[in-house]
Amino acid sequence: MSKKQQVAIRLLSTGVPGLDEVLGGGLPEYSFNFIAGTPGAGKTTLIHQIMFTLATPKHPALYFTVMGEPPLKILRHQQQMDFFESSMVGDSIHFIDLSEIVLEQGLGAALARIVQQVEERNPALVIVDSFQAIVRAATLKDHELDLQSFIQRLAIHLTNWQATTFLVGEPLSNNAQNSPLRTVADSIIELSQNIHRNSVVRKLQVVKVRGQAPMPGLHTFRISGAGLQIFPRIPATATQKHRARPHNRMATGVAGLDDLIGGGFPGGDAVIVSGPTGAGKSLLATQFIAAGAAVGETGVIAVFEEHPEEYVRRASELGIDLAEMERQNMLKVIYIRPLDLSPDETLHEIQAAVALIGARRVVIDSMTGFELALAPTFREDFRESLYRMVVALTGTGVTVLLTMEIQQSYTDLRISAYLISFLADTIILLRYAEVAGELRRNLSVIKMRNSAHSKGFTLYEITAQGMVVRHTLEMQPGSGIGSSATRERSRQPIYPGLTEEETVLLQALIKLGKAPLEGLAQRVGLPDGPLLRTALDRLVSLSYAIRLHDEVGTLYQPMAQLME
Amino acid sequence: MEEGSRQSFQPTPEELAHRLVGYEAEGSRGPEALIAKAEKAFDRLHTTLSVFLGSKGFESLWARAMLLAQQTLQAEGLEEGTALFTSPERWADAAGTRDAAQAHIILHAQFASFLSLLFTFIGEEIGLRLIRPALPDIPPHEEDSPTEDARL
Repeated sequence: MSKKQQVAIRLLSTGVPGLDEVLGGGLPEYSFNFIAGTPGAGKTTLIHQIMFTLATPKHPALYFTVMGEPPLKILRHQQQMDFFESSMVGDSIHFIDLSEIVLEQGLGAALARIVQQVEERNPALVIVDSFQAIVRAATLKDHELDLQSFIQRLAIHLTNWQATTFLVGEPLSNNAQNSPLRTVADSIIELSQNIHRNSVVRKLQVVKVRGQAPMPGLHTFRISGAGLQIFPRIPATATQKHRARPHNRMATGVAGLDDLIGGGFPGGDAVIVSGPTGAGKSLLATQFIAAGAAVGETGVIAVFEEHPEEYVRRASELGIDLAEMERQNMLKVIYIRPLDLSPDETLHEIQAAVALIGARRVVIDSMTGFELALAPTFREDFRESLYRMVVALTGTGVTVLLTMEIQQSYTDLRISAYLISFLADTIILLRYAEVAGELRRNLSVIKMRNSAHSKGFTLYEITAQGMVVRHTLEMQPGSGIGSSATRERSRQPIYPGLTEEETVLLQALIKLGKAPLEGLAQRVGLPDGPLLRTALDRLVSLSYAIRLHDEVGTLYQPMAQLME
Repeated sequence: MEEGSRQSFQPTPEELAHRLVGYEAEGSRGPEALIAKAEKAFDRLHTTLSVFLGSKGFESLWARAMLLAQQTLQAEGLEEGTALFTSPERWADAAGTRDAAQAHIILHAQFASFLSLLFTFIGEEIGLRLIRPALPDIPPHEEDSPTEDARL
């Protein structure tokens, strides 16, 4: 059959955030569905949310209650939910109790009652809650109609009457009694809640959807006053497929650091900044965000350890006004610390913030706090969760910087306690080292995929203006980092008359050969501003470089040789 | 509730009870006409609400409401013999023990108690929507259901 001859199956939007995505687009119209869940899992709320989304006076919903939660209590409780509209009750939504008919007259009479109501009211939605009561009734009495026939006739009749049907009940065991429903149902959605230590994690699984490709696996969800919200478990492979790497460099905002890493972090990279407490991880992250904001790149900071107000206050002490950035929609600081999160919920929060302001930079501060915020059950597969989250974010071209606290050891150069370096494109290790009798901070670029980078240990300082990279350390043969034998590289100027910044600029120009101002700015990680222009003027005036003018604009060409 | 605070017509349980078993003093007539009216009202409520509550659910709710009504009537000094009025099957017999005015007070209190209990559980608005088929003369709510365009 050609495509043109196929019947298009309309998909109904359930109104439950995330569920349509998990179902593979929505619920097929006229489908016969089973919503299963343990008591308290949220199935009644889920079906009410769907019902209040889809029912109309012309296409009403019939809600048959069968020995489950008393209808009076269903209405009493469900009207607390935001989606509940009282005006729909008795108009678009009709509640009908079947308990007595099932108990006293059996399944045949119950089916007849359903059929009578369906033919009378012409519903678009039919719900039978709970199906488990039907199963029990079928086993308790010798009815003239067995369970299999009941399900079969119900499905046929309701489909013919163009009703989308939901049976609501407890999860199906694998016994033969349940096999008719497994066979007849077009979709099976299972809800569960798992208690691990003090946290409760709710999960949803689409076991089956006929004719569609649902998202596999267990998806976490949360129930609030707004109803259910599903956090689809995005497979890492799906996002990786679409990974589009930008080719630009993202200035780090740390003076001197960009020189060590070829001009900044490559766009779309995952960067881990690892180090002991007080090393300046959060500071580097904050400067990274501020550097982005300075060139119009929006950012998101996900704070897991300290309150955002404290985070913003500490940044302000260094002259970085995160609050103002937030006011200008250049930054979104999100605070996530409920201790029962799922990785997908966290990812959803971050992705929503990224989408809200079109962020190009994301800071997760810190991975240790993130792990603590997760429900214990997810900590077991923390690496996998983190991997999916990072891949999902970088897959859209966002550069992600993750901070990680480690305990410094003078004999162990481990960069993380989680063995997660595989997920990082770039790893910066911050450490303390003993230099000439002093404890000095130093950093090293452990890894940069597809990019040249400094291999040395470089001293940096935390100043009133933030983190500033200083000198590269030289190691005595056989000595380790932290040894008193470590010494700073000679401060003897190799280009007389030039400051350190001007030397860096000249070295960059020599490596580039000939470059416009913008190219140099990108290379050295400085903004195209007075500082850069003044430094170039100095290079020209001291004959380290010449200025050329051609049809494309102004270019700078080095006159000096590269000297290490 | 302050006057004018209702956005749409929201009759109280007492007002609704009056619509169901309204009584005008007509000389020395006995309570038979009133009892007949109450029975019809009860049947309409039973038929309408049993769809939603189930027959047993309705009867259970009614029984609870009767107990609460008796407490109200006791407070008004009418406790004696009111138990006879708890179910429609006994209303005809009970009528002989009261004059029309007293029977009206008791029946009115019972229906008001039932509606009040229903509203306690599910709220006035939904309660009114559910009993509307039994009281077709209640003005509809101002708030309409969502339009077709917004849904299927």
